[in-house]
Amino acid sequence: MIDVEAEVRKLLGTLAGVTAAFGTRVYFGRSLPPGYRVEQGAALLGMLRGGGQEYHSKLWRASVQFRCYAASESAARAAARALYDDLNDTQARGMAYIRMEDGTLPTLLNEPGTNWPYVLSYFVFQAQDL
Amino acid sequence: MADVEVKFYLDHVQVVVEEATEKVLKELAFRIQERAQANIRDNDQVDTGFMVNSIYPVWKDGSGYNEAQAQAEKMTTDRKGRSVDHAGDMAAEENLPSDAAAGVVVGASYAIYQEAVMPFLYPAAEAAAAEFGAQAERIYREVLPDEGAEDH
Repeated sequence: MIDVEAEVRKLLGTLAGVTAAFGTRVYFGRSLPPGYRVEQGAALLGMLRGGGQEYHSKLWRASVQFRCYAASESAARAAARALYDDLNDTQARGMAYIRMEDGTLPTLLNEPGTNWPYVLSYFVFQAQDL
Repeated sequence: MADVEVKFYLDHVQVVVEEATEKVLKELAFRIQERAQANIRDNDQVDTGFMVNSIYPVWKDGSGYNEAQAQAEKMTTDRKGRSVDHAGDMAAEENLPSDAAAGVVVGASYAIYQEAVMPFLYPAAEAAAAEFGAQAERIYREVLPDEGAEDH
């Protein structure tokens, strides 16, 4: 079985724009790691939200949610654009295609509690077991 | 002349199929609403019950808005037993986009934050759509009479 999250993590680590925007602050899960503060720089928080096997066990489709946090709204938008520019319509080893999910647009929100700005966006990954 | 007859036939079928599709999608919207509400409860995302009751389906000529608003806004206690007042908290009714036949709306304005942390709506839509194929076929059969079946 393909570990889609591991494949997405691996791919993100190879993308120059993502690395420039977020450095090593690329996380997966429901919440940011304890101790992170937006003053440290933009952070990317990914989470698988759905998907499944397509046609056969060698091909999986996953919907992945990304939250791009930064110290200001403009910085959050810039970080989200960097993510989009690196991911959308990209093909990579192990990924047949990656696209922003149909019918969605990146949305600027503020984290309840901290009020940190973040941009919420969704991408579809089609992962292949090579 | 034959072209006219064929065109008339196709137009007729197209209208019937559109009616069936609207019926299918309306039923799908209700199914997604039910599943989303179940997911919220399973995820332990209920505090006052406002959000879970604020979900409503929308279709071409109607919606479940009024019923959802009445249910959601009458929630008066949070899980710690404290009194809350949700009167007027329901977001305004969402209209269906012109290119959509049905939809599902969460009337609680903070729902997007809950969905981002623990998705309840997206998985509901995926699951309902996946299981709906067989039921959609039943509806199509009801609306599109299988004339050939009478011969057997």
